[in-house]
Amino acid sequence: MFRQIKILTKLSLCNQGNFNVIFHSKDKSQRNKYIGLAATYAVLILMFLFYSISLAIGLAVVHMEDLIPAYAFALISIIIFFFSIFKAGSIIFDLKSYELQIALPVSPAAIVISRFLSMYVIDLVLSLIATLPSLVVYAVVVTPGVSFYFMGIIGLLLVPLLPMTVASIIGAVIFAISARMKHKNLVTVLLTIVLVLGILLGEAALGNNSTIITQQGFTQISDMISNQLRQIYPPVAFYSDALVKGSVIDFLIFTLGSIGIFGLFVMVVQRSYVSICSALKARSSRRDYKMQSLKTGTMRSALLKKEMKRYFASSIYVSNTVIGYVLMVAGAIAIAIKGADEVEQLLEMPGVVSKALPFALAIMASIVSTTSCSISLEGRQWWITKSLPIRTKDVFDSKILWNLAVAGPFFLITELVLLFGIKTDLLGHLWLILIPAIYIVFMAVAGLTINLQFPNFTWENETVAVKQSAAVLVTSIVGIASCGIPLALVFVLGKEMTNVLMAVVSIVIMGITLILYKRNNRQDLQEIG
Amino acid sequence: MLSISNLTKTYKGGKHAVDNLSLEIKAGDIYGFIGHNGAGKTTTIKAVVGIHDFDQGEIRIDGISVKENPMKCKEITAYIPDNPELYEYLTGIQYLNFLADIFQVPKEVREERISRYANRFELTSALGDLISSYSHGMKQKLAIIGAFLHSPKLLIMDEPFVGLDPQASIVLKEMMHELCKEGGAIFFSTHVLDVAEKLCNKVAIIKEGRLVASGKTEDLVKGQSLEDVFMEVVNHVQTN
Repeated sequence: MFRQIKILTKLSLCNQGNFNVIFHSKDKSQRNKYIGLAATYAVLILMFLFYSISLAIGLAVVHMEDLIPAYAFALISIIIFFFSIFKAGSIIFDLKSYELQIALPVSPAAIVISRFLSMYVIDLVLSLIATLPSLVVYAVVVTPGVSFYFMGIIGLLLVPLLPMTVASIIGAVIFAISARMKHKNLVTVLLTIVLVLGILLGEAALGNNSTIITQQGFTQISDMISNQLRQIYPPVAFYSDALVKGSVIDFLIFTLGSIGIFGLFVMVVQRSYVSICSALKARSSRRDYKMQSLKTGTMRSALLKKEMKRYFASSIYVSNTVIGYVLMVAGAIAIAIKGADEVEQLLEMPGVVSKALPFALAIMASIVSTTSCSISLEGRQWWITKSLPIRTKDVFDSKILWNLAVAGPFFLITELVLLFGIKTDLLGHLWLILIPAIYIVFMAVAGLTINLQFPNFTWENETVAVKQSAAVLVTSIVGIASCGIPLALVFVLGKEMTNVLMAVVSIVIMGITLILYKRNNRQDLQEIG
Repeated sequence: MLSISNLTKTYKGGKHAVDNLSLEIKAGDIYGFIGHNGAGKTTTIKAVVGIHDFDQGEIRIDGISVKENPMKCKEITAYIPDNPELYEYLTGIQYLNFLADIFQVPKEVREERISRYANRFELTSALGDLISSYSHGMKQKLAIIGAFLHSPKLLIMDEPFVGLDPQASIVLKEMMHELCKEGGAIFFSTHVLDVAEKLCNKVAIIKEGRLVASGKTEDLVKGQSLEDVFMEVVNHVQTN
């Protein structure tokens, strides 16, 4: 069983990480792209390390060093939870490799564990980056006893287990429910979005209460933050008390709890694994079609329809790309109902709504675009597009137009809510419309450009293309940075310069969009993939 | 109909996938392309249909250069790959209608052709189902119907008989003959030498990217079987 798990985990990691391309590809340009991506990851890791160490030192400076383990633990657990909730279900129930593996003499438990472990390895690296430096700072400041090091090292290895298991349970439940429904993908998307919004609202509500409490006095801050962290993520209490107070009981509860919940999850899932996968695989096959009149259309409408069908055929594609737009609508409704001040207090970002709302909306619309993986998602069917008499421009236009068609309804709702929900002058309303609109178009084009640089047609599980691909990561970084920098400039330059800044940013972003659009269309489809 | 002159395609590692290959396929030809695995058949085919670029040489379809005017070439060509990876999220009929829209096949014509070909392959009742529910053979049949939909002048196929049931193989052979009678040409790769011998009026043998024999099937065979000729030619080149 252990040998099976080891082999299958290695296989799954190879698929998720493109390691074979990096180490074995003879195509230098392809290898260089992945090396470039590795450099991007390195920069992100350094930034994360810097943040982690700064946070720990900051807490130590204000004599709240006892909060360091709790902070680091809560932060990475929440990050892992949110990363896992979208991908866990589709990785564990990846049907393509399921069919290959279930035919081999391996047990369902080995398949489930190996898929979980392939996620665990990646999350463990993330967890070590976030937690280890903080604990080093804590150890330097506090000089704890031997038990800290013992419990710390074991704890580090177990940190990702609980959030991943909980996310996987939720992912598995969503998949199990949707497997019994006719419209599996739609149910999966709706359940995921409702869940994420519910968690975000719940956490925002908890955060808001504590903000009011923290105003009562500096001396109580440490306890209150600790309580706040424990409210947001209860297992923090066991981990923190084990490391800070040396509580063996808390350590045992944390360790056995993490392993126990994981073991229970594997036990339950592996029992119904084959039946869930079979239900997911089941396709309605009526075999009763009779020739009927066919609707004709133009080449462009055919391509756009194809994009639409592709989009709605994948629940992870929809839920991953729609969440930013959903947050944009949710933000607008919150602002209209609660008012700018209360939303800023809730987000703990003073001025972000009252001074820079157009860029704040743009950030949410720029988290991810449908185009950032639309080329990769052509997968092994890319030959069809390449062999048909279709111009590059028509192929790319259909992908950009579909992105705009997805964003359009959310954008319209946001604008209508804000039009009646907030008071601002004519120019203010104009920026509220123009800036997010410009960014939506920019991200649709830029996402495509980036995907053309990092296409991946050989994925076995579409989660790899949608969630774990270089193109999606780089697109998100570009999107957040391109909105985040002007957002920060609003505060740096002051209110007087806001209109000028918005005008300049609009022109620059529109210019870049046009350049990228033309550059994309000059490409030869033959050379892609 | 298809003219390949001095085609050379080199892999990024420096190895020649296809080396100075020249072929001439005329209207009415059913041209078989034979060779070992990795000999360069699929690379040649993919260069012809515009999936892969090539380094040197020229490919012309009906006198039009695939490099200079790929759109015109693709409009009169159809391609069926060795592994029919089709859009699994579409139903069979949606896929065929998509292709008909791309090639702008008139409504009545597409309805008549889909109906006729689907009936011949006994696929009509499955056209309303998602392609993801199709077996390999059904996908292959759908890819064939899609290829014939715009009545191409040149049909390129990579191992078209793999996965087809005997009846479907017979139907495909009939359709190939019909296309050639209408003035079209067919160029296809195969490992089934019996099929090539019976079906093709011309045959080309490729080894390690180079053309080692080509011509009319009857001239190449000269009373032997194509299998014997293939082994003889391949081994002869090996010893040289």
